[in-house]
Amino acid sequence: MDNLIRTEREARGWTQAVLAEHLAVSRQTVVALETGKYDPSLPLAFRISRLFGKPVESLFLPANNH
Amino acid sequence: MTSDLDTAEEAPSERRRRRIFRVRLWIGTGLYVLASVALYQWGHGNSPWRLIWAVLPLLFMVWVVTVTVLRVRQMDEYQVKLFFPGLAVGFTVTIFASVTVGTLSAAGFTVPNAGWPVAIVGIVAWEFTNLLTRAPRA
Repeated sequence: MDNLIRTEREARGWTQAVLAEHLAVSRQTVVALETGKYDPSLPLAFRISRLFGKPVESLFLPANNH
Repeated sequence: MTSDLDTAEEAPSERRRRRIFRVRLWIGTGLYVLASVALYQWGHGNSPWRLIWAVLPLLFMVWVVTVTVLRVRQMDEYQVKLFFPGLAVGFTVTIFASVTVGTLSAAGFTVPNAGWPVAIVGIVAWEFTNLLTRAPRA
């Protein structure tokens, strides 16, 4: 699954550590999310959606190779 | 692609949790070593205190286990996902080592202090798997 987490974070001028703090996760997890190595659980996806003020379906997209 | 915002700096709360865990772990480990020294010094012979000296190190091991469990409960979902393969491999290897020692004993081959080799093999398997899965540092 692709996502726009990095784009949204950089648009706000946040470091990965700042985003991690906002989401109450580790920076390692933010890196894994941004690089597409890890797909978040629904609760975490909704936390991300709420934080960025955008619907889940506009932040998370089906991967191109599927 | 990286940017100036992609620093290797940890989130402050994560750093704080890790520091607290390490302090608690080292306190428990230090007390375990002290209790083990006391056991070695005074735990032999027929002293009525023998049982106390023998059980004392175990109390600090319980402390270490409790601190570790608390740390795992603080981990987020991705960290837990990375953490559990190591635990599963460590557990499996420990069981296998225990059964091997038991089988050897049944065949008449005694392994001195067999508990320690079993524990060490399990911990090494756990840590090695953690390296492979890039599990979070404690």
